[in-house]
Amino acid sequence: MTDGAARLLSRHLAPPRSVPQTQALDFTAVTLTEDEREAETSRRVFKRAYNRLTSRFPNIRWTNGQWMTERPGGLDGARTETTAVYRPFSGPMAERPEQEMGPWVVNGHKFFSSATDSDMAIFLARTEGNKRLSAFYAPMRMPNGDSNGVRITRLKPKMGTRALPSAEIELKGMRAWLIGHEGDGIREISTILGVTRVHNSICAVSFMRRALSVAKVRCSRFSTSIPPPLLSVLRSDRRHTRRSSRHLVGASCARRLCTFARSPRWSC
Amino acid sequence: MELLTRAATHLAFLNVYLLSLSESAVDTPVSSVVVPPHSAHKLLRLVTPLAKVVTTKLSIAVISETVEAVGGIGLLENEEPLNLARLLRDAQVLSSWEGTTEVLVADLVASLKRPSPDGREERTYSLMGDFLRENLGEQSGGFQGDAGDVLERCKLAIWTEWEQLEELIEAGSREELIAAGRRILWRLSWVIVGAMLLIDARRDGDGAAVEAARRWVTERGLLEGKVDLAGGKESAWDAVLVFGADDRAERERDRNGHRL
Repeated sequence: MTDGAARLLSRHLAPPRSVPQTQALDFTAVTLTEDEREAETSRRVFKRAYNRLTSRFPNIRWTNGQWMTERPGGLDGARTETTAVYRPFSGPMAERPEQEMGPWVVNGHKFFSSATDSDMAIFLARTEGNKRLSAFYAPMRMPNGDSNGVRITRLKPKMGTRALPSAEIELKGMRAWLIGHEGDGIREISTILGVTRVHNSICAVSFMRRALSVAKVRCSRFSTSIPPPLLSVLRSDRRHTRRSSRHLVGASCARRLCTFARSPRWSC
Repeated sequence: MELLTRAATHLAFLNVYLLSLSESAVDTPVSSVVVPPHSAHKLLRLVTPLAKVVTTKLSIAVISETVEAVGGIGLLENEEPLNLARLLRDAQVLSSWEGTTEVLVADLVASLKRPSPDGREERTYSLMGDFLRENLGEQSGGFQGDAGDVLERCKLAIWTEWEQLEELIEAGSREELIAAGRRILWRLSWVIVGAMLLIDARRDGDGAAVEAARRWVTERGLLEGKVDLAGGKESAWDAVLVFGADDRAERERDRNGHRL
């Protein structure tokens, strides 16, 4: 998820092309509108998060959480109830650390949030007057260390992957930044999903290879009974007569570990 | 199980290769897998959901089988790193999160036939045809004798299956394809894995790699494989596949003559 988030944010770091270079260099000539200033700040915030997500230093590095599932269910997020309202900070720029928490205020409940111990989150929420969902970025903590409106209400008692805490969380007045345009949430978040799915496949492969290695070691070290017909076949095979009994056991085990490949399960 | 693990590994690393190409294109090929120019991104969209389904489903099945293979010990909460029970529990979530099979099937169909801006359907699946044609190619791998024959037969079988599949995809509407999505997904992944195993075997004609390709393609994991009552040679290959060839001389022999 962390890599996926980094990939997603990296797509939003480039400055808009509409700002001519000469104007940007000449500070006196630059009069940014509110919107431009906000876009500028969001890029700075994203860049900082990106640097942390891709860092290799444990004290700088951030991990990302990704929150999709809500109480009404639905894997495509179509029934998302979390809402985001645009409430930019008003007043002087003096409150800059606060300003960088983002102009959107998010309220809602996420039913199954993975990586609750992460440092930031990317999630979907509904905005006013828009049927389609939008993607948001939010850090978990305020500059002063307080929680950014996130409350963990319940840890999930899972059957597996317990090293990764999943929880129900409540969002109340959480400050966030919109990623990309309103209504583009699904498209934006699919960038993360693309990367996490690849990680997932690698994980699956590593699990099965490890399980198989354990089984191999176990099979070749401990003698198991070889069915007599197989034993005679192995003895009659010239290649095997020179082998020790360990190899015979190994061959029996190999047959067992291979047989599965020929079961009809592949078809389902 | 060994074969399935190999299959899943090939699929997952093809996925990784496509991901890396889509993020930073390289001019010089760094793999034996040929990816036609400008198609990495679309192929990635197609392979990712497919690889996720196949690797996770196989992972759960294979781990479950290893738990049985080691006997009662498999059921215990052993000390790490021998804890198969934990692996099984952890693997279970892999198929649910980041998109269940249903979601991924819809995703796959959407990337096979994308709606184009003018309201028609873009034939993205033809990219897969190009990819397979490039990789199966005319090259026989330069292997003579049995290994060459085996690989040639594998190539034809994979291509035939793809042609049937392509017809099916072409004829079906998106709704029909989603309804039949799981079958399409597994058949397509059989084709892709077959091609990967073939490429792997062609690289150096390694005996185990050729045997893996042969088993994958000719036996299909179904009832098509010959019932070999004597079973001697098959057992020998079982051992080579699982534990590797014993010594150098044997490895050489495997390489020089793949005898079925």
